[in-house]
Amino acid sequence: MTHPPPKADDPEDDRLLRAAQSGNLEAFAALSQRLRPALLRYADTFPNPAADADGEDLVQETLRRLILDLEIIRDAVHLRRRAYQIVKHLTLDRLRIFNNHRTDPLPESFEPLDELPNSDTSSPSEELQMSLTYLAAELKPLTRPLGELRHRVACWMLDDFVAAGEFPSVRVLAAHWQLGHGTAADYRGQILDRWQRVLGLYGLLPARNGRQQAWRSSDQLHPQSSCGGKPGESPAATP
Amino acid sequence: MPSAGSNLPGDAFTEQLTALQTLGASRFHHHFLERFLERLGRWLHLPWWAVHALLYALTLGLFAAFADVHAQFPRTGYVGLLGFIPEYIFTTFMLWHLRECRRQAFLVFAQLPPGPERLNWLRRYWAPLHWGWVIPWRRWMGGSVNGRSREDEGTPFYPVARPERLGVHLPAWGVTILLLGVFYASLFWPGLHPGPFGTRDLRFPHEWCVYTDLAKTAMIVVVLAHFWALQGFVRLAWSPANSLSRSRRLALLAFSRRSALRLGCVVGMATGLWFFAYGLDHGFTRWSWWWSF
Repeated sequence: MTHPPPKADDPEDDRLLRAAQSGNLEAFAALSQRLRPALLRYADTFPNPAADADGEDLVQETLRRLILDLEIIRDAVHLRRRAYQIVKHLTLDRLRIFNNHRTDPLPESFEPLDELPNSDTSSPSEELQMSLTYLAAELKPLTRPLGELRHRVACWMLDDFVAAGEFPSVRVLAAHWQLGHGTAADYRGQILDRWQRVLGLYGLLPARNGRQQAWRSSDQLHPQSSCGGKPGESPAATP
Repeated sequence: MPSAGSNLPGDAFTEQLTALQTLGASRFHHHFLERFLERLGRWLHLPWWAVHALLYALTLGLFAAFADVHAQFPRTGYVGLLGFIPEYIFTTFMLWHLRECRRQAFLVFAQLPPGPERLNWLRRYWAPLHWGWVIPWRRWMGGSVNGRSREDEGTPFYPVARPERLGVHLPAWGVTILLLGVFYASLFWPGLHPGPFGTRDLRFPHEWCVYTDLAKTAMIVVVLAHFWALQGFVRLAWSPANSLSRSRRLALLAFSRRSALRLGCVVGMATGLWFFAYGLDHGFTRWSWWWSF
């Protein structure tokens, strides 16, 4: 992707640039206001897979870097070109970080890695844990047709379910996978629908009725319940 | 600070811009070699990298003009001067790398909340690169300094003001001169700097190479301090208690990883090339392997 052609040399831009280079922060702010719309438009031309930073964040980061480069900037055209370069590098960096950390998320801190597992929390019994593990292993292949990313999200959701006893919320999902909340909610809905549809095809669930609502509302699997047809019972417990 | 009705967008962002402007305009955080090159460049109206290249070219030219290259390098002649190339690559890269890391440190500094903590972070992890080390020996001995014990949180480990109060100060230029002295002393230490095929003659006239040797040694010291600065970045990225956003932490980690990889690749390439040039001149003997370390 090439940079948009810089505008012809604007005397007002040059004047503001000279003032900013002499240490006038107001002039730099005025200059950045003039640059902002073009930078926002340029930033929007790049993909934002993580949907975690809007164009305004990107422009602010660009301005932070620009103010450190002020002394090597020759004129207003050079300034614009430099700003476009920074936006381009930042967006490409964002893409690389998304690709690298999508499957290798950053833990909150070192401490949880060093601590022993907390035995105070109410964890399911060993037998139930084993059942959940088998259940997760059975459910994992079902989401392959949804695509690689959704499938991996589904596997992660199942692992989380086995560990914590409930599906991760949209917020947790979005934070872990670096997704926007809308995207995370879509993924989650598609995955849950897929499980329900496939289990229904195998006759493990009754037809799509009010039970779907129960699934959506609780988002909890209760494997200890029987596979009768009682309302409010979790469908995924059946296999 | 902005007045009423200013163009500045917001208080937090304005504060960040002010901090960046102040740090960027200050020469305090520059390495002494950078200051020297910048000052010379201002006088010659050249950028720092051009001055650096000019000094290397001048050294090489002096050596080729006044020394008998074929007598100094009987095996390879002018090819023996190949060793200058990796030194030039290494020093130029390190000077550029220093600027990049400083820029990143300033950007991180500006995004931390204002207060003594961020200044302590900058001093603790960034100061050794340009300013040197402080060995707080009095504190290690169990005493307190200025009424503060070593358990005090938030005490700057590398205080910039009045370091003599806190311990032994090893300035960056002092460590460089010390290392350079050790290097020159080793040239005259029999047996440590062998000539070709085990002879003990000293052929390379280092009196021409004052600037190149100084630059090389200074940048070796910077490499050592660089890993401490990287640790500062990574600790900040992984620390649970700071206000950096998640994406900013990931960007910081990505920068640290890229920085370490880049440094390893360039320094490794320069060392390999230097080893090859040395081997051409001295023969690929067991000494080549020894010196390659």
